[in-house]
Amino acid sequence: MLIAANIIIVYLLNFDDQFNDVPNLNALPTAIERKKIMIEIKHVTKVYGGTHKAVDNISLTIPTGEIIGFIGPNGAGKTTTIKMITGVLNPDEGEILINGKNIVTQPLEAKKEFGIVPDNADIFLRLKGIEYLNFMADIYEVDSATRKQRIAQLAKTFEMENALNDKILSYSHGMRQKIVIMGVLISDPNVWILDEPMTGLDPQSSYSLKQMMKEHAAKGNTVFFSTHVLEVAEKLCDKVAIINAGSIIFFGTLEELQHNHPNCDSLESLFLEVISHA
Amino acid sequence: MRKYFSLTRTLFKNAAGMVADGKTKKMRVYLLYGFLAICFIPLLFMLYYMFQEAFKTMAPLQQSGSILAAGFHMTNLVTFLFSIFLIPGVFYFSKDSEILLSLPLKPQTILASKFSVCLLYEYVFTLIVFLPLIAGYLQNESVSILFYVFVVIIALTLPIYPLVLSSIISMLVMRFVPFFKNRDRFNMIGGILSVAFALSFSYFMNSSGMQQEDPSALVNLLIEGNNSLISMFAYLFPAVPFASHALISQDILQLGLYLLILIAALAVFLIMGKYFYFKGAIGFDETKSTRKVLNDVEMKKALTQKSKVFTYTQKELRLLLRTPVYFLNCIGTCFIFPIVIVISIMSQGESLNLAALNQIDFSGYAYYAILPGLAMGMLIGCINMISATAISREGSNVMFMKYIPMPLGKQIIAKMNAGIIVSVLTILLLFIIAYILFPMLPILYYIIAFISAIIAIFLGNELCILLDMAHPKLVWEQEAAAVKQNMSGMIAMFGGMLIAGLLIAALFLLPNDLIMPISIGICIAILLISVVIYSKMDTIACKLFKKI
Repeated sequence: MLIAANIIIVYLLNFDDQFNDVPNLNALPTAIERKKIMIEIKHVTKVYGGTHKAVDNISLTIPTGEIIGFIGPNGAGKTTTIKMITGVLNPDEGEILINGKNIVTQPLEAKKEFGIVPDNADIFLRLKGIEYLNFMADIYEVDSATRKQRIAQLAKTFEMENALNDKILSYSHGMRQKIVIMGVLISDPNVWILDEPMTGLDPQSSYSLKQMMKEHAAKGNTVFFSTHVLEVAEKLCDKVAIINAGSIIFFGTLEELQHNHPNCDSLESLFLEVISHA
Repeated sequence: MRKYFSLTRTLFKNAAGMVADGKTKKMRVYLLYGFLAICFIPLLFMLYYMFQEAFKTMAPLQQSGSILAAGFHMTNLVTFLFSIFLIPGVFYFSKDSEILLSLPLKPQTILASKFSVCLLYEYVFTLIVFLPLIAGYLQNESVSILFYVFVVIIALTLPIYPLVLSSIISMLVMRFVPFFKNRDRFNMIGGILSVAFALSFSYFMNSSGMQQEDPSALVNLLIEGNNSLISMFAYLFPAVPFASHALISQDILQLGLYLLILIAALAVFLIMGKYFYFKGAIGFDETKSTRKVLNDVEMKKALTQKSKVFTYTQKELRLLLRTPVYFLNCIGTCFIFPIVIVISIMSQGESLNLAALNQIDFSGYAYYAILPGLAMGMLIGCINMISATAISREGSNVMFMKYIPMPLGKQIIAKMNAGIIVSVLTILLLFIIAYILFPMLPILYYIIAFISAIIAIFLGNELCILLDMAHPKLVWEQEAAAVKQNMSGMIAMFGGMLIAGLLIAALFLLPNDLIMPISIGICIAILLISVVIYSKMDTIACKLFKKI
């Protein structure tokens, strides 16, 4: 009995690595941690006005260490999904877990796990850049020494050193976008959620942000971002989730998508093909 | 012309859409505006009484025309004063201006459309004076059907001239005074000027000349003598005498001349617009910037860890102090209130016999200070609208409150703290002024009134923020709309006045032996309600925010 139970446990622990020829018990904890699920969306539905299903029974499981691109046409349900993940809207059905914490029943714990860059960067315009960053650091409980070091680093990366002492109102659209991104990065959350983050950024900042997203994922964290720029998704994402009319119509790697549609030679044509067959 | 109609319709629908936020049921919006209209009824009756008495006095002397002219001048002046601060916001600083400037539209078309929308706003202010004026006239004179036709024509056209005047002034200022091509600076200076005007008006209304029993004396003051206010206004609003003559004698020629002046004024306005509008509208700053790099010491000073509630309250106060329209409406109003009281008392001059108070023995009546203290706290707590617009001021950024890891209840308390801090400072200022003016009152009175005021300030701010959470105005283009066109703010203001009035009325109506137990009872009840609301704030906030 004991031997049988051990075999079953070992088998279950190695379920994800079952294709390995020889189970390596020493490597088990690392394997489990690598596959740890960071965002879990389970059968989530959101209905507006009692009739319009903006999001219809979607499910997504996003593990650590991946960059996920969330793409879809206008009005497909991207922003509604992001609002539900971040606790701005409550789902009508289903549940959402961020690093195992339910966004509806454990909102504070779940919110500490992620940082969000909303699509509208016009926020607290009459605060100075430095005051906004300090405010965000207080809200996300970043200690004084760490925030000082991170702000200095982020200001250099985004070339904002000479703008921090000015009110956000005096910033250009791109600079406002940068200060909001810096406000998120200051707390170094496990999950980054970004709604159209590249909009308004100059090429250098856009490049820096993409690099940071890659580094963040490489450290075992998760990046989930919506975009309309398919080239960004193509170059950056480990997986893409395509949403149309409130339903996820594809979730996987771009290779899998290409494999399913061998006639398409670009992501743009793939995207159009998938949407048209939805 | 087709572009003008299309643009006017769009701008008007957009403005109307701002009033109804698209989420609130229409019936509730109508009810709220109905309530607001009811609040104006006392003012309408006061003006009606004043005009009616004036007509009664002047009709036997065949001078009704002077009263009509005075009323029209008053209407024009009200329109002019309201529009001089409205026009720059609509013509130059509104968000749609940037889009409209890039469309293939003539400057005259944009101006004419924006002017038409302003005109619709101004009708409301015009009617507040115009309706009691005509009602007062009808009470004393018999009129023909033609009179009503003339009344309708004049009512519809009366705000045009003052609106043209303020539009031309705004255009010239924006074109030739670069100092004002900064939104914040313009709003701050414009706001201070309007406050200065309000204070002067308050002093004028309280001056001994205006403190007469006979209400027609006010009108007489306006029209009598060569240097009367009316003769001064005649230069400012030359169309008015024609309108009043036309109405008195139903003279079509006079009406024609009146309309001709308006058409000429509109033509001048549009021609000036053609040459000056674009040059004034293009290239104004939002605010100033230095682009100075912070050194290590400055960084260290700026970046110290504080508690969430403290940092949130600090953010609220910073936004209130730095946003001109919030500063003037929420903080400025509060500090003007004590100044107005001082002006009122000073302008009473010798009529106030303060020395008589020295003869009274005040000992043993300290509990009389409780109800006035509560009334003052409730009034100050509500009148500044800081808590009553706390959620509305977030506008489209209200989502921020939902996604940060800070309980909603704590965020609400932090927002309320800003209102409480400003209210307490106002009360302190008021009490210092009161102590200087009435040093004969024992200090115990002030202490009891101050403590009572603080208790009421807490409840006042709690009620205000609950009101705004239940009905926030989140859809707005300009910050001004969040405080000036906000129903929660209005209800809080009038509600605060009402509760304060009831508390003071109780002081006068209650028998002497009941004042002490009832005052203490009310004070304890307010304190308990306040504590209960405070402890339940997170639950209430979560419930109300689900609807936002």
